[in-house]
Amino acid sequence: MDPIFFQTCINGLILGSLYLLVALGLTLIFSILGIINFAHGEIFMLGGFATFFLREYYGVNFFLSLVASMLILAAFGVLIERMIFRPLRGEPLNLLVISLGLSIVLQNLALIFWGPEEQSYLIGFQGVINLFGMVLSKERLAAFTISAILVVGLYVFIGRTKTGKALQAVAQDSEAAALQGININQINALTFGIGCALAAAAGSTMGPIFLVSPFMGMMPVVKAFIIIMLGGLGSVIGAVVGGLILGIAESFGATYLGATFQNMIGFIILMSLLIFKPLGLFGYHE
Amino acid sequence: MSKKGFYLIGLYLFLLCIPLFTKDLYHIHILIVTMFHIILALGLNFVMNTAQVPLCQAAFVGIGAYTSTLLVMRLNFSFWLSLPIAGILTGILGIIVGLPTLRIKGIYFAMATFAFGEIIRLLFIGWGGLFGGANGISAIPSPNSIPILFLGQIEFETKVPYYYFTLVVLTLCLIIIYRLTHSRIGRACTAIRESDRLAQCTGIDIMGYKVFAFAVNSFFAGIVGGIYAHYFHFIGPQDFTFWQSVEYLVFIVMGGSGTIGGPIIGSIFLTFLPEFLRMAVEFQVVLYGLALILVLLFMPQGIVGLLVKVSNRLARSSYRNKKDENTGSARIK
Repeated sequence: MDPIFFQTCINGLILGSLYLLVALGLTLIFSILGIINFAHGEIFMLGGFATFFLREYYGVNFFLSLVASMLILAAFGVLIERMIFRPLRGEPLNLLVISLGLSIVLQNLALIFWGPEEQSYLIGFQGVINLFGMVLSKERLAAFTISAILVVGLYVFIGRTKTGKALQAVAQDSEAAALQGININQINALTFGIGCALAAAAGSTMGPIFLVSPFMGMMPVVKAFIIIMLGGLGSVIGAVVGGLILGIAESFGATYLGATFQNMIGFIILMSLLIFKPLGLFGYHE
Repeated sequence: MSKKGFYLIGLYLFLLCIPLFTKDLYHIHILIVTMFHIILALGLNFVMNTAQVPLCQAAFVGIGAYTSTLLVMRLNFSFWLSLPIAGILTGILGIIVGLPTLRIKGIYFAMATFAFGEIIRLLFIGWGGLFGGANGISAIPSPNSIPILFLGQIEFETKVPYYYFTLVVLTLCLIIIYRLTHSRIGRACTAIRESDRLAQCTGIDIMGYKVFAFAVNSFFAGIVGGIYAHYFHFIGPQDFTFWQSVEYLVFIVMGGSGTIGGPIIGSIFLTFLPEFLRMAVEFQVVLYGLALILVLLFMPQGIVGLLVKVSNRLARSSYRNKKDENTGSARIK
């Protein structure tokens, strides 16, 4: 086995972990609120910009600005859930179109206020590490670590805490959950907040790698759709596995087959999987 | 002839006269684009009647556009031959894609077609030798001139002949969709939409109807793609992205799904809206998005739904007034 093979594996793993944060928010929001949220990429973009401004204009420490950006976007998420999504609950097609409208508004407002330039900021980890002949950038390793911590945290929150169990109950059957005394509106707002916070975290950590611009959300949200369909809608473990599969497949595609194929491979896997196993790898029938 | 028929004839006379009274060719251009959108929304709406929401409309338009373009530019076909070939080829592709994917439902079907659409777009970019890569294909020739009785040769030099030609195509599509919706096929589709299991139990071949609707839609999309290519004289992969596919869906939801009027009104409204917002220059797109949100928040049934509601309320109140007059009793709230 040559070092290129391992390098490709590691690159894929890191890439997948970055997409994963966006995907987790999407899949949470879908399983609880039934929204295919096209505006998720724009939340991701706003998270990136929040960290960018905190870092570059106010010189805040990266971890502090990451947390601040997550909190700001979580509040924003709760707000838009209340204002825009709640009145249309139960009408999936309308919810889809309204999230699209939101995405258009946010993206173009960002374009008007901040311009189309691609900007970057430093997170305080520069340079590379050489490990067994592989070259790893410290920025990407930091992003991978943050992503891993958040995913494990989310998993524990959903599986172990009372609120997390309430979340699971609503995902399975919201009416039955309401009968048990779970406040559906609260859970919905909380879910949207968490989803947006995860997207903001992804935006903040990917900012230095993929550059911050009003259009930065378009690519990751498409990847996130692939991941959550691969793993099975609403499944956290499924999203993790889907993220890793997509990351590694793209990484190998890019190394051995060329850049055009890198983007195509995810869609080819998705389409064939949906035809033969429509519920995804970890999906279940209701 | 019915009242409806008179209105229709009046409307068509009006549409036929428009080019005579507009000096600004840009207005004609907007009308042509609106008609493209109406055809695409009608086809999509026909598929959505079978409770399936495809997200690959733009890919079919692209396939039609590239097919017709390549036939004309590489093989020297006449436009009048390449256009139907483009439509039929896209229709056949619709069947090929539909057969495996239409078995799955809901969001899973939507995502499978989304993946298909993106594969096609990336193919346009990746296969540079045939499709011109990211630069697309430019200098696509206009349709050949056609002789028409009493009118002489029709040359496709200005936008006006395109306007009439698209109007003819739109009318044909409308007739096809109208006849299909009000036939056994349309009723079967409605039964599938209401409950596909019940439909299957009553002996309706649900897979057959779904594939048929999907094929009709992709045929329409292929035809529109063919005209599109020769009208704009330029096509590229950026014309056929996923966001375009979603836009046609937006037309239907905004207009009100499930009817023939909904997609038409939605397409007209949303194609004209950006033009009216043009004075707001940089806020144009933001206002467009805002309009989408507001319309859905305040009229969730779409524009047609609102019209129906208003007319029902008017009818009810006039009925009530009449009743009050007859009985002479005061209305108690």
